[in-house]
Amino acid sequence: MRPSARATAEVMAQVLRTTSSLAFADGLNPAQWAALRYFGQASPSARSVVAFARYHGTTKGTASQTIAALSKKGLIERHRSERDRRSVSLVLTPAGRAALDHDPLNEIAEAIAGLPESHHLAIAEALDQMLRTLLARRARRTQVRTVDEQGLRAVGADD
Amino acid sequence: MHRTARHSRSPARTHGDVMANILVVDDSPAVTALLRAVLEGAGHTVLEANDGAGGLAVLSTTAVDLVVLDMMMPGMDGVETVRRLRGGGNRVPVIAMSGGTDAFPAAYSLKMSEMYGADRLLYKPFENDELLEAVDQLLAR
Repeated sequence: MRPSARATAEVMAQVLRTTSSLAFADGLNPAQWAALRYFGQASPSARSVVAFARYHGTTKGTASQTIAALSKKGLIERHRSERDRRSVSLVLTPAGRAALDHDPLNEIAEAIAGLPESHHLAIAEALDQMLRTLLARRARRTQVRTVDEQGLRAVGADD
Repeated sequence: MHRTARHSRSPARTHGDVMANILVVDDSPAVTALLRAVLEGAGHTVLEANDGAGGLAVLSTTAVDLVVLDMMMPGMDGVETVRRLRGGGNRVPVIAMSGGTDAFPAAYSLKMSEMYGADRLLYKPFENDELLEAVDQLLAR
């Protein structure tokens, strides 16, 4: 029997709520954890606010706030490049690296790892397809908004 | 499991050591030319495809040691290419690369490719040394 799409969506929302509450751990919020993970793995050329913002599809302002909070907590710091003194890199401090040992994502990964391989693959493929569908819809909405705004500006220009 | 003849042999091909056959899959001729120059400069042989389907076709007929794969391509994109490659049992090392777009940020595409089995993620733009370091590490495995 095919499961109810609506009920599946509600169960998914419960999973998201659970993972979201897990992600408020060690005094960090989900965005701050995402930044810690990013700077824990970023290659030298990608250790900047702009690169982090672009990577996550967010604004530079939002990214700056997240990084400022991590800096205040002593988890991330600015390093001036040896090669180019004008260039500044953001790197995790030893405390930042230690914090990643308690990454709340580990608990979720363990739950996934405990699934049979076929279930894990099914989840991966379903997430892939759902994410593509949701991103495509979001892109269409953005396009419609942009066209509407351009139309309004054009109308305004005629006034 | 499909394995290329070359990849089934013991590796240890670094750019300072033995030449490797590297497949670059990217729809941008400019990026492909740049990657070719960097990889050939390090002593490797470069094969090319301009989308995922073309890349899989090359992999089905040619011995390849490593794949450098763009995520954002028309037709079959990089994520789907990794899914099909690993689904078919091919374990050739894959470096996934993406700069992302507003509609499909790199955080999504690169992690999705890792979910399906990409070995290394490179976020564009990257330095030549970062690419060569990733290539060396994967060929040495």
